[in-house]
Amino acid sequence: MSTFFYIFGDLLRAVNRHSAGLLLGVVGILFAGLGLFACLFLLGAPASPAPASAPTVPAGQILVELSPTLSSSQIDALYLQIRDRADVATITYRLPEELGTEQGAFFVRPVNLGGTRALTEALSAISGVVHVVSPTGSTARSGPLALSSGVKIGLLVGMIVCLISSLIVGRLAFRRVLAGFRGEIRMMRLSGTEERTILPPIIALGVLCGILAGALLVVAVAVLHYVATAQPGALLHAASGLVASGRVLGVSIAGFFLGVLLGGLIGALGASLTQSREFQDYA
Amino acid sequence: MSVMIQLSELHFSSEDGIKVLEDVHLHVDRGELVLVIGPAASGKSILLGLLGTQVRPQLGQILVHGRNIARLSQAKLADLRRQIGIVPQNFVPLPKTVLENVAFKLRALGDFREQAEEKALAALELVDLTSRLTAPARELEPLDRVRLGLAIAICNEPLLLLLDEPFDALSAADQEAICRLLEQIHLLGHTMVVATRGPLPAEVKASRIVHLSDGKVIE
Repeated sequence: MSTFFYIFGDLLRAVNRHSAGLLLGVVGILFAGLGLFACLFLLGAPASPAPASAPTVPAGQILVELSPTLSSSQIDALYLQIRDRADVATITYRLPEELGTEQGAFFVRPVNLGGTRALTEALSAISGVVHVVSPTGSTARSGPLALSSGVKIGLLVGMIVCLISSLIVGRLAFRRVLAGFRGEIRMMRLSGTEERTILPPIIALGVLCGILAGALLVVAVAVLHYVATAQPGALLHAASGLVASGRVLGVSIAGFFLGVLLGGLIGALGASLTQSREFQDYA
Repeated sequence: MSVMIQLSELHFSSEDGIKVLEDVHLHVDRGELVLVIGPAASGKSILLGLLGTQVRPQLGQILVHGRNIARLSQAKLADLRRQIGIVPQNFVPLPKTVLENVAFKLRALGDFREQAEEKALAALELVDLTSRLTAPARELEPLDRVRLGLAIAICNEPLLLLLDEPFDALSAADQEAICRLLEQIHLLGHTMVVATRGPLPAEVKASRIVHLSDGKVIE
């Protein structure tokens, strides 16, 4: 283990400004790829269908279902926001227990029925509102976000592009790093150091890039999760996956290990460069 | 006296088909200092590369320390390589201090820091470089570079020492200094093969001189 860390330390000292820039590029590209991976699972949760036991909407009123994560003070603020609208005649709040649902809801009566459609759309655009049912039966859903197949395919293509780019930039970065470590590799080979001692520190440098990218993803997802849950008014709240702690944890762990795996792959690609003649005396 | 190196019917061709070594027969006994002399491109470096297990043999038999290197696995080749000290042609030290250069090899071979430094100091003392321990190795004079190369080669007490053109780019006085150093190391019991294009320094004292010309050995 001591030999591994000694050689790894020497390898890190061989990293110059240019190769460090390229390695940071690898971390950035990996992070972008992992970000797309996370988007796929955190933004792409399918919209939940309207519950079978949805409350009946009285004639001439609009049902405004609220997010279950809203606090009472946030519900109060929403209540006042809607009540103060010029096109709203009355607004009533019903508790989840009264409705037999997971979340509470407002029943809104418009000033005139002709403006119901516009009011329905306006209410559905308010953050913290997940479902709006108008008296005509038309519904508007503001969240959770549902990603279309096209967007999902786009995210997957983006991930593949990031993977390929990280391999290309990784190869360039390792070529640069190893150019500064060539003498050491040649000396080790000349003196009979086994490949299982020479190569692991090089692979570990790739793994380190993967760990950094994975850690950045975990931090970014944690921050977004905090923002989404702490500020229901924020646009992020519409991403249902971001407010579900279990899903956030799962995606973070999976993303981190995916980063480590991809970093290891880049490291192995870098280690394979040392098989060329320039790293061997008498080749 | 036991045999350290035994070459039989050794042939070697470059990738473009040029014959580098042709039907080479050579044996070196344990404790001998053998000089291989030949003009540029006569195959000296390839011969040392083959003996040092850095180049895979193509045709013929190479026994080093009783082991046929063509039949050894990668792990056993590495094991054998650890018993061979090599000073390559135009040796370029690592961008470290003199002491760190020697210690690097020992650390890579698994020695702990204290152990590596102790062995490195002993090797540097033998080649008379203890006054330059903290000097940047790349700033050394050509004579001290060869001394450092020798210290790196002998620091793990190998059975066989291979030196490729150690007199290159040295003044006559420096060549004589290296000759004295080689003799001193030889007296410690090391088997040595030194390849050089000549002319030989006046002070050189070899057990045997082998001439290599057009890939053929003329003893």
